[in-house]
Amino acid sequence: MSAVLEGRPAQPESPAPRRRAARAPYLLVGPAALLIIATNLIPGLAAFYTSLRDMVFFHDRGFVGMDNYAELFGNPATWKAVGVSLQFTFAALVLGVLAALVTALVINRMGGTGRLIMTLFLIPWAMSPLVVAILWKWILAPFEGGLLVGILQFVGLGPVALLSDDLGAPAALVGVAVWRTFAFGAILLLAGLAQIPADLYRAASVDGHSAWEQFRRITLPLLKPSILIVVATLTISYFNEVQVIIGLTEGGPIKGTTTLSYLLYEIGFEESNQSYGNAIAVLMFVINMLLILAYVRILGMDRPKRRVGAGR
Amino acid sequence: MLLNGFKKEVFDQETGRFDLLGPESVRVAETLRSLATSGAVPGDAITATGQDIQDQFASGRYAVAMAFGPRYSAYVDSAAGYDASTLKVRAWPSFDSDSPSALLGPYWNVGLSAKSGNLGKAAAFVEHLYSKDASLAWAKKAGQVPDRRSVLKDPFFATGKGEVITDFVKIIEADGARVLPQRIEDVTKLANVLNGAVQRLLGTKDDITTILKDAQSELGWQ
Repeated sequence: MSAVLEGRPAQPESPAPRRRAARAPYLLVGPAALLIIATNLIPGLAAFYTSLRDMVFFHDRGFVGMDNYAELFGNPATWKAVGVSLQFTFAALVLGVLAALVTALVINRMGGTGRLIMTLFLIPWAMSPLVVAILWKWILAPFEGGLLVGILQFVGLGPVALLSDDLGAPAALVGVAVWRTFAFGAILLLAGLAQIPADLYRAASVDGHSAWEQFRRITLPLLKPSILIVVATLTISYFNEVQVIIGLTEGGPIKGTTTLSYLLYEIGFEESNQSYGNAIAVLMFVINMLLILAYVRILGMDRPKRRVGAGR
Repeated sequence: MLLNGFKKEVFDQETGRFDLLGPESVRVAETLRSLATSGAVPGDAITATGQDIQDQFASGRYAVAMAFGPRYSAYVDSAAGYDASTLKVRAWPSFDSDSPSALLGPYWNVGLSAKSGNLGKAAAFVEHLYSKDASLAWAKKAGQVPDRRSVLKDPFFATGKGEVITDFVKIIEADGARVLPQRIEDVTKLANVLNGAVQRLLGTKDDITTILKDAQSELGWQ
């Protein structure tokens, strides 16, 4: 630590350079902050304002106060959609994080070949979610031409209409969402694995610890920050997922895959009910913020920053 | 759409509403359910979009598909599952005593802004849309029925691609045409609610009246 402190630039002596130094962080962060205000904060406030009005297909019929929220919270479809969203999010999260962890651990041991395989795994993540959905729709098509049908026929089984089945449709959505995103999580975990000193494993081997013990006592604890980042990122990604649902099930069968985000798409865009759609958007914003706050707390990012050298 | 198989009085001509619990709606619902239970419509149709069914029609999985006129020629071009010469348009089926007849879909409106800076040119463009040249071009490029029927004398309408338009005009001229009401309230919401009801009709054994009552309640049409 002392070496780092010795390398710090000297504090400016005169007031002018000190003022410039004090302004520097604002100048650096300013453009990004302005961009966020322009693209997030202002549209967010506009969405809230619209949710307090009665606006259908851009025809504003005036202020209605909290009527849209009263209708939203009184509608059983909303609560069903919240339930579907949470089931989808956490099912995909468990599988996605597990797949990312296993992939990262295996790839980490493979060297150059592993990097090549990782590149292949990343292709679905780089593809448009809507294209991924259409691709899977044809893979799962329950008639001649569908890949799944071909495989089932090969093993002597009949076609299965997964996307029109009560359980099959949500399961397929979870599978496709995980398939599309697990490599992104694996990349983050690979970066975390690279930070773990190899000496620790060598010392553990000398002490006679098994591979499982090394994973449990070294890998998992030191990888925890990376895992939490993956969990936070994927939770928000899955909770807001809509393109895969549009392309694969359109919220069906019988609203079985109508998440809150799909409900927003259906009412806000298909039905052009901007005010009610924005009320759903505000509800989603609140849930997203709660999830982010929960993860920030878990990650420990809300702790007060320690000043450099404060502990000396 | 199926309600168009009844006389136009089924719809309130002012609002486009119809009685979701009326005998016509129940008959339509029963027809849909029988299509599913008889196997005429496969179970996976429950989550198939119109586009999916049109694609599967092209591949030969569905024998009949509803398509807007302008897209018909595209289906003929892409229908790998059929001999294209066997594909034909047919009149919309009827539930009542009327003959099956053509069903005209939503209308395309053309208007001029009174504040247009180029009103003369805009008017000339609209005039052009109804000219013989434009009618023929729309028929050839997009399969549209020409507004100028005199254009039908063009040799194009005796060819494979043009013949379908000739057939369609014959259906209109023989038995008239069924039309949707000029105005339908909350048409996009209506489509979503009825899609949900159709999914329940095809995919569950729920009581038909219950399904229709739920749809009525969702639409706020009590």
